[in-house]
Amino acid sequence: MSNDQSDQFAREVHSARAQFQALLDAAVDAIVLIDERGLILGFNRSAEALFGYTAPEVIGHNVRMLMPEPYRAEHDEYIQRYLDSGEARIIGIGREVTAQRKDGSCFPIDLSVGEIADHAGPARFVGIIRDLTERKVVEQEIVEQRERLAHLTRLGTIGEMTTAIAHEINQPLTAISTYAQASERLLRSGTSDEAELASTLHKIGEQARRAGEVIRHLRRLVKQRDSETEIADLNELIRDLLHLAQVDTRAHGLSIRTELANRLPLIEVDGIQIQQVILNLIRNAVDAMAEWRADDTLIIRSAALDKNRVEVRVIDSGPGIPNQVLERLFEPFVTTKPDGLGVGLSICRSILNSHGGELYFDKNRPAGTVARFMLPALPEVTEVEHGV
Amino acid sequence: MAYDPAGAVSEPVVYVVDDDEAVRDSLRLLFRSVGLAVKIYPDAQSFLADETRHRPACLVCDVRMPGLTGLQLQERLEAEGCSLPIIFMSGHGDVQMAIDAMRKGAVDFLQKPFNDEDLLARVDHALRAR
Repeated sequence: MSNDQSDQFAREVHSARAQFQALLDAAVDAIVLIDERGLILGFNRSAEALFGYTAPEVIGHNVRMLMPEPYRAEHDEYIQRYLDSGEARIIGIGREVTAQRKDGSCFPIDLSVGEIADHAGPARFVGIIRDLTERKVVEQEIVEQRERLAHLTRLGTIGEMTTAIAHEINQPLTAISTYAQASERLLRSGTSDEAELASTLHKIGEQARRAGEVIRHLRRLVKQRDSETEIADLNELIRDLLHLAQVDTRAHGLSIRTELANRLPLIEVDGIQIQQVILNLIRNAVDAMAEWRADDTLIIRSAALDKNRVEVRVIDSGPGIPNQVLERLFEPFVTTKPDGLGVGLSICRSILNSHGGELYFDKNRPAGTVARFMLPALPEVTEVEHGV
Repeated sequence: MAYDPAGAVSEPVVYVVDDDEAVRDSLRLLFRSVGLAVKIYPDAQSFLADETRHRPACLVCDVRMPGLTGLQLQERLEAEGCSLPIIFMSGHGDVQMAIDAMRKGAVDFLQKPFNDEDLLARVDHALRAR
């Protein structure tokens, strides 16, 4: 190669590098280049802004420094595994992971990794990083808003049940008051017998606890709370709700029959929200059956649809939903109830959708409505997943 | 409907119809504490089915019950020509229901929880009146 050619070549390489650097620095996303040992070769301006490091502070250091544990300890292995087996956990796929800034704070990112196709030298990788903090904040706000609306709707549902709840607390109070007055009379008249008095006192205690139980169930539903998911058994959620639901049905001269599956796969849900959906469906059934009914029994059935889904049905024998209402069932502020707000079913559906579930209404034979919803179930054995 | 042939001379009985077990049980104790005979029924149907009703007697009955309500029981008794005095108990201050019941001949209406003096005075009045 002549000197001219060599100069020309050097100028071209220099120009290509400058173009490459300009491209990197103009990118909105953070871009990090590493070699096959994980050492950082390039770090663009967005990366500097995102991580709080300057390029010279990181170049030549292992990319581990940009990750929190446990990824930090395992990252070298990930690269080695890929180089040995070609088994990619992230390369060419992209996924949500956690990154760590210079100041030690962690933040969610979307990371996609590509391999630089250069057969001449050792492998190199380019990572493109998008900060998800803001998206997560928005997602969190949506969750919070849904819970606020759900909470308001729960208060509305409890409001509709006020008469029934008052009745349910009034009964044990009546029993307590009457037991006490009768015991006092027996004591004063000198005709009391100690065993009977002891047994009456015991009954008074039982009745007080019975009234307390209604309040305990109510408090769970009316409490201000943050939305939180837990691993739950759908049957347990139903059983736990039954006490309050029966307050409502009893007041209307109805009874509930439960037909719960022997064993259901677990679900990961906000339990209070799912109970709210079930209570709402029961309330609708009660209101329908208060109008007209073929019989006095309301059925709650649970079933595993397949390995992946569980289902609940609330079956009433009321007059059924007219077709013109059925079409607009989920629209907010559409209601057939004189004092209803019409947001019950739209929030029910929103809750179920946010859990990956669905809500349907069918006609029941010979009379009434079947409200049914499905929720995704957790796999029977939870697999432990590794990163990258 | 079978009446005790001894009728007016037999001991008065208070019939209690309430779907709540604890309320029934506590009323039984209350009436016993003042020496009154009591019979309790969990619903209107079982009361109607009992053939051995005595006189003088008085019925203390809850308004809201599954199956037949208190007011429906009142109508049935009236249809049978039975003039049993009825004292209704209600958990709610349901004025319209009270007015309807009284118009149909109920002797009184009490709101739960009640004062024992009030209930016993009304029962005593009902038993004397007939």
